[in-house]
Amino acid sequence: MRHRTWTRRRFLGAAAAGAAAVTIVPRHVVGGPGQEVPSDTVTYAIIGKGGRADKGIGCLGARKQIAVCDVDYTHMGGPADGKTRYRDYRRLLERKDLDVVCIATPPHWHALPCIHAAQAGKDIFCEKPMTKFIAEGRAVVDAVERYGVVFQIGTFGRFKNSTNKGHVENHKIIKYGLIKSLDGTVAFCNAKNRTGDPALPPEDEVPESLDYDLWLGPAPYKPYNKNRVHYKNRFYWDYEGGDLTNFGAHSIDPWQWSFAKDFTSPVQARPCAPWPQHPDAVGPFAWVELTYADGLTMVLGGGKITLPYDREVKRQMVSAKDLDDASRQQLAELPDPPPLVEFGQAVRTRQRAGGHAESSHRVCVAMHLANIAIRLGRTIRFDPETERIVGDEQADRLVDIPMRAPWHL
Amino acid sequence: MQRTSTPQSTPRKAGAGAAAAFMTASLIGRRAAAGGKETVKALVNQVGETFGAKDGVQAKYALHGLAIWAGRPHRSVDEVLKAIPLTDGEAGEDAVADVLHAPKADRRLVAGALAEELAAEHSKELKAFLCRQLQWCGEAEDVPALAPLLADDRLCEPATQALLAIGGESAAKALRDALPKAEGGRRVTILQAVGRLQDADSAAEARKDIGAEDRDLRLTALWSLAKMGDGQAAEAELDAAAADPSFTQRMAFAAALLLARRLAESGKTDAAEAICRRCMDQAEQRETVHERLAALDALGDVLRGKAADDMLKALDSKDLRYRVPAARTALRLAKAIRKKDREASDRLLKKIPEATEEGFVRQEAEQLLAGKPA
Repeated sequence: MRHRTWTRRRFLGAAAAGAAAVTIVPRHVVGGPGQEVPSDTVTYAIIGKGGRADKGIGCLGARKQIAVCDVDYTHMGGPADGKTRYRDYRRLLERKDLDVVCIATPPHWHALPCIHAAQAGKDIFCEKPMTKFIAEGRAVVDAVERYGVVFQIGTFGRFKNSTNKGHVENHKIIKYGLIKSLDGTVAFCNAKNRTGDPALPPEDEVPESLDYDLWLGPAPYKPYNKNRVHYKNRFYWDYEGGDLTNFGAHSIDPWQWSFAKDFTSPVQARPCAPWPQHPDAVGPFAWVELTYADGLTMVLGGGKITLPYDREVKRQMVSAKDLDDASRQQLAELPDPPPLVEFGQAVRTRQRAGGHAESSHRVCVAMHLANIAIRLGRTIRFDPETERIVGDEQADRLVDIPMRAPWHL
Repeated sequence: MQRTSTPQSTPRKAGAGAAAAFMTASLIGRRAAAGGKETVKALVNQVGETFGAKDGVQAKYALHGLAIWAGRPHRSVDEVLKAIPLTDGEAGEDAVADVLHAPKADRRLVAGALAEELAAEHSKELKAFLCRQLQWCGEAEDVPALAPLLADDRLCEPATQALLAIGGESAAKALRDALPKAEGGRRVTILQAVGRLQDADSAAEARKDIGAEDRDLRLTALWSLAKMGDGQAAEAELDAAAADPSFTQRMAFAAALLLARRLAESGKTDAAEAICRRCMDQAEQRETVHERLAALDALGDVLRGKAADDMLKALDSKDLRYRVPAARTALRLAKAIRKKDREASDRLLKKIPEATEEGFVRQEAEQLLAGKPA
């Protein structure tokens, strides 16, 4: 007799049909000794089997990898076979036995797989940065929320901050507006700053194993060069925002949680960087100052150029000591933020994960504004509600960059 | 606890980085502009005909810098004076002169020169680079130079992206006029562009591709027509959305819901609601919970408070895969309609804690009902 494998998806569906108000079915209810408990094991596939691949997927808990997908078959150990190896992620998403996708492609290929995975009902683990330009982020958030899938970004520092008493207090004070102004409150974040090569050699021959057209996807067509692909892509504006977006997310994300800025964005980005920058290759910077409407400042530094930040710093965080008696009383009465939900738990309970799409989008907005300011060599202003740059039509063109057809948001 | 680097405390002064960049740009721009279009064209020749040529690196920096400088916003004298102390001598005076000199003239000089070079004898890779610079600084006046490139297989994409950045009626017309003559990849590129511009005047031509054999062309037509809010495409959208599950079917489903939202924006609420409900029915038949959720969300966007009963029904679902995300959708709707439809908002907020154990959702619903900050 053929043993049918119970997938998590099938189990949740069956449980839903039979039981009332089920959230998690205890292990002892199903399965027996030596059997995999269907509600615990999640199937996943990796899209982008290069460097990062499945480094962050441990947060999923009990899991089983059922496929990989890559446009370069040397990363998969062989050409696509439509069973465990795929070249085109759109085919992979048609698998009914797939619960989660782990997206570890270059960033110009993050947003669309996220959106398409949501449309296919798959939960998503996506490497940072979530997006390559601002409008992509809103499209990913919309898809994740509308289709009710679970999303987790590949950075986890906020989980530590969310259980730290000082950071929780800081978060509550700012979230509930208990302090009048955050002028002079400056959080310093860091990123590395490796740069691209503006003098690439002329066109190389495309390796037979690489589907270059699919590798490019939504990015503008440029002749193939081996120094622009496979990790080195991160130093070219067409594919990523350099180390600022590569490492900046790890630094900004926990602070964004601490300062209760998951649902808003900076209103100004002021660069300290040489200018002009190269049109293709990411260049050096010193720092970018990101200012929020309430006066909070984040300074994203760590650039190649060592220049000190040029404004007064009063403090890095706020606490109850900064409040008057009435506000302190209010603080004590307001609820603490609920615990952030780990990805694995979120997948199994259908709740929103701690590193969710909206917060990841806002981190990326901050980083993209920083890069836009660097590339234009001037301060830019942003409206967090409309998510457009204001008073600068040229800069605003970089908010929603056209994609190479047939790809679109 | 997260650690940061040691905070640096210095007396408050004007941002040196921004001012230096502004002054540098001003100096470069002023000196290049003094040489007129010939300076710009000389730089184009120095970039070189081969993509990535080493000898052209400096010229590429300069030309790209000019394109950005030329597209700068006009600043008031006050803004400039705040950023740059006048005691900075020549640099400060140049920066002030830069503001007083009309940016429009500078933009015409640079963008106009780049546009003229599109007709010169250059390689396609160099022309693609010029299109990319016009994506930064091009204006309506440059559309006539870009339009002929839509007929070229290599240059159609960069020209289209420059036209999209320029926007407006002249760019839309250039794309609309080129569409009937375009085939293959160029047709997909231009069809997508008119959709992105929501050019309703292109709808008739776009409808010809609804039944195209080529999948990219077919899906692009459905998406573009949805973006345009073309009600005549509704049946085709829904038929494609009702097919067996596949990437194509899912894209059509998403396009149908996009069309519903666009119809609602133009006041055609009944038609929009009809699309949403048919999508919900399709999803129920296919047992695709995520699509049911998407259709429910769209219904909420279309009907607002009048979707409350549908939301409440979703919150009664015994399927947690549907109920838990639906509670988040209901919370979003309740917050969005709180001022205009308090009664419907309250009904949703009262029901939410019964439907989900999700912490932040319950907390926000309870706080809002109690009139406390959420």
